[in-house]
Amino acid sequence: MRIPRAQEQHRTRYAVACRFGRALRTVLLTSILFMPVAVSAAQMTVLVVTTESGTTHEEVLSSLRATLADAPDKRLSLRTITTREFSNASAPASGSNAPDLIVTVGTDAATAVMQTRPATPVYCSLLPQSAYAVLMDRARGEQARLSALYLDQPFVRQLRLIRLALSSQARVGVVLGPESRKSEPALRDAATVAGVTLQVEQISDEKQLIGALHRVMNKADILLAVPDQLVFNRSTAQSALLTTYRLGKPVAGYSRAYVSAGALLSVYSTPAQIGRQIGEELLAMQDRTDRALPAPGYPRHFTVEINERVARSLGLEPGSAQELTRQLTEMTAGTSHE
Amino acid sequence: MLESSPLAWLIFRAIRQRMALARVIGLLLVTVSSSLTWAAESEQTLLSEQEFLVELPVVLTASRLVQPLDESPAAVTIIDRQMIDASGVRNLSEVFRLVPGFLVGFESGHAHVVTYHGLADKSSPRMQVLVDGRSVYLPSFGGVSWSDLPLELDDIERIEVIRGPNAASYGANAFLATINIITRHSAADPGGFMRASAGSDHIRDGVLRAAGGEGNLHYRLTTGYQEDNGYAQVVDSRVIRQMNGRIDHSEGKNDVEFHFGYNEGPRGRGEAGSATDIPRDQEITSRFEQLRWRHRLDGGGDVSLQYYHVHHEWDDRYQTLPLPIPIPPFSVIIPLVLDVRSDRYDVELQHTLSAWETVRMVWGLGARKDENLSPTYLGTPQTVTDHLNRLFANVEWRASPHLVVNAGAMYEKYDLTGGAVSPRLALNYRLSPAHTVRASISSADRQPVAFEEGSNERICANPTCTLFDQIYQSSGQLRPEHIDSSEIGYLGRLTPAINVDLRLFRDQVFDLISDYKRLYPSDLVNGKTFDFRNGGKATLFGSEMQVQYQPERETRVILGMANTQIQSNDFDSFYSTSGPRNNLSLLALHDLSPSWQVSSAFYYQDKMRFIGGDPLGVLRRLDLRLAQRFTLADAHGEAAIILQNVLGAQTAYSVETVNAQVGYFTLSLHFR
Repeated sequence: MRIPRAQEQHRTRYAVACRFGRALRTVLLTSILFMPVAVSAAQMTVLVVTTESGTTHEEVLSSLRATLADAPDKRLSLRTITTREFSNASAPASGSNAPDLIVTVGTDAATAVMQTRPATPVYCSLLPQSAYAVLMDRARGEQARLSALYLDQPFVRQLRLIRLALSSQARVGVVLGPESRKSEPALRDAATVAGVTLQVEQISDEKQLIGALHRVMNKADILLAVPDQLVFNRSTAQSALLTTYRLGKPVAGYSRAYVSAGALLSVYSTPAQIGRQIGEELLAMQDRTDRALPAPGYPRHFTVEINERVARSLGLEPGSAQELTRQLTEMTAGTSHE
Repeated sequence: MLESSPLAWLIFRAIRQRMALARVIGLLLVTVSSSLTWAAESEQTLLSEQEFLVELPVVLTASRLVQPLDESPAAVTIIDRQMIDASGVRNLSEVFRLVPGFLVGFESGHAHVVTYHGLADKSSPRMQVLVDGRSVYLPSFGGVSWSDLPLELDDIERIEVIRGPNAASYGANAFLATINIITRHSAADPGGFMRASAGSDHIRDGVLRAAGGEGNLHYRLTTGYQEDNGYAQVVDSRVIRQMNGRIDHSEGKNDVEFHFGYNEGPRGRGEAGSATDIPRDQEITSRFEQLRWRHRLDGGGDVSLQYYHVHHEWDDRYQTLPLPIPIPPFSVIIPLVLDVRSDRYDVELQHTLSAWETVRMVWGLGARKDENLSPTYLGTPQTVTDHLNRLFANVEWRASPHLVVNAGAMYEKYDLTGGAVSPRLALNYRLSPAHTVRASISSADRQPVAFEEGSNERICANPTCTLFDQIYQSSGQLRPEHIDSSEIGYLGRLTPAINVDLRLFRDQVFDLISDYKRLYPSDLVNGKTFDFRNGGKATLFGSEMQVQYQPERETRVILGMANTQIQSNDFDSFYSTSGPRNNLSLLALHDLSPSWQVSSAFYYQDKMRFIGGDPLGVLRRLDLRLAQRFTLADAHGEAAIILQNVLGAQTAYSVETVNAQVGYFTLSLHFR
């Protein structure tokens, strides 16, 4: 079989490392032979498929490895390949080296893995909830064991943060596009749980954004940015931030970048925090006799960031990021919502 | 039964076959459609994690951020939409009663006087007034003709009032205070809007507005009509017809705003029984065009370029009644041409930047040309042109996390008075996030206006003008009026619901320009005429307090108080009594339910006297408003009833201008 070019390069590059790895494996296998049978049975092999080999995914992986390393008695073997390697290999998740679980990192990785309809359970991570919902829909029950750790934050958490940072009377404005409008019921439920008033404007085109922002901010104290590829994205973020600011109102973003760009605050999970939770979930999974996947869910670990300058300019005192994180964590721990 | 009837059986079989066929077709359709859906879904790009991880360009850079109130080098009062509505006013000038230390008087129903602390005659020239950054100060006589502004109350977003001189930021005539009126963005109220008001005193007001647009282009067009009888004893009926528009366009890093407006209509003038100042209608025409371009620089700064032209004129031609003269035919009817036209052209370039992490700077330059034409008042058929060029800069330095230093200056060069620098230095020290103290010193100039510098008002009784009444003749060579101001301020959030703003001030004003009588031997009437000279001095000092209390969203209370003393070298105390010792405003509003709102405004003012007005007694005024919001099909509406001067009639300027009890009803509808 002709080895694909990318894979060939990969092999050459890692040939030395692999030879060393093989020696190590021999040592490990030998030691396993002398171990009690029960522990040997708990051995779980995990194939991690990452979208690309960029810094983001390195952060996820190194944090994941660090979490696993903190529990040395667990028997987890981790194999990492990129989406391209996965797609190019003939049957990466079957045969003798079939893993017990595939963990995908990123939307593309999840998409690529799901397309092969693997028999192995799949745990998707670092992807937005909306992307997972579409993938799950596509799988249509064919993928029996599938779950995810989303990248985005639950609405309740975002709205609670707004309530903590502004006031209990905060009215939250939201502009929803063709995609994000699916989240409206969830958003409304979350507003009830968080105890904030919601003002919603729906638009179907980027052109309607400025008008919608003015309309919604007439009755709202803060704009919650909800990602939508057509309406609320990287390119429209600029005009949304400017328009809202000129109205003397702040924006709650969904990433660290939003805060740097001019949002008042954001709650988000870093790649490292996602990696840590994947590790925790894997360890917990291994403890379960049936090795059941965790339920699809939002990240447990998160970061709150405040733009002090914007806060000062708008005459707001949202409090410190640490204090808000603490309060938010307490609230999350106390309830079953989110 | 079916089997027994061959025909029925045939039909039944056919139906079954059809159904089977239909089922097959249906299945096919489902398969096709599901594969189509699958295809559609595959084409649909899923939201990537990159959306959450990618960097964004910094939009709100340090230099673009607006100074918060507690870092501002001056005391600022903000009047927002809700306050304007709740106050129940019909005239823009009246909302300024809500600002601590502000006085509002009415020389007539359409000649409103707004001033800060005092020193105002009917033209009140010692304040700068801007609408969207455009000066509406009249270059002919000074001050602002409030009734002539092409501006609807319903289009105002908010008003910022800077208490104290602020030439470093707002230029010439930002003397006692600056009023900065900001209209709503054209995308703010899409759809149609109409308002109709009617009440006692023949109040008949109407507003029609259309706004729309899409993407990066929005527009608004508002027309308004206002009419009332004015004061019973003053010839001051008015009809205001106005129209104004705004277009906003944004494209990438550029924003362009175009504003235009028009205001016209008759304004009653004159005195009943006078032979020379006969009751008549002046025809007012006021219009403007303004273009502003803003560009966001890659480094985080902004450049803006603004041009505007304001035209104001009144047409006032009439004939006097027969007047006695000492030569045959011993009686004459004089035709008078009291027309005044003024034009102001202004262009300004401004650059905002953040030089270092802790330093922000704004600097700019501008040029202004004023043209005034008034054959009678200025005594020349020629247009009188004055130029003013200016250079300004303001630096904000965050010296430490607690200390903000604002240093600024404006250099102006005026045709008439030469060059002058107006500096300002302010220190804001943050004791804690909720408490800030401010100390500031500043100075400013007020440049003389065309009439003060060049009045030459002569009424000829015969064609050769050997007989005449010389009313005004300026000696010229005026110096600008000068103010040195120092203040100590405190801003505090006592509880989350209570905000306090305190200010102690001391303003020293020199070279006040006023009209003085001088001998004019050849003058027909009394051998005397008026001249403008520098000469007055005044020291204003006192304290002010503003408290905002908002225990819940539905309730708001805003209190303004001022204690002012004016000391002057004036001979008949016309400066020192030109402001009240104490004045107070109290606005309270409460939403009884989502649809019902009640509000009241109470004003108190100690005795005072506007320059040229009559002594006014203690003023106590109470206005009440009850409003109900409703939905009518797709439209949102509001009906309100407003009662003004509930406590009884109040004198506003002179013995003739008595504000009677007024009630009016207003109905507005906003539909998309």
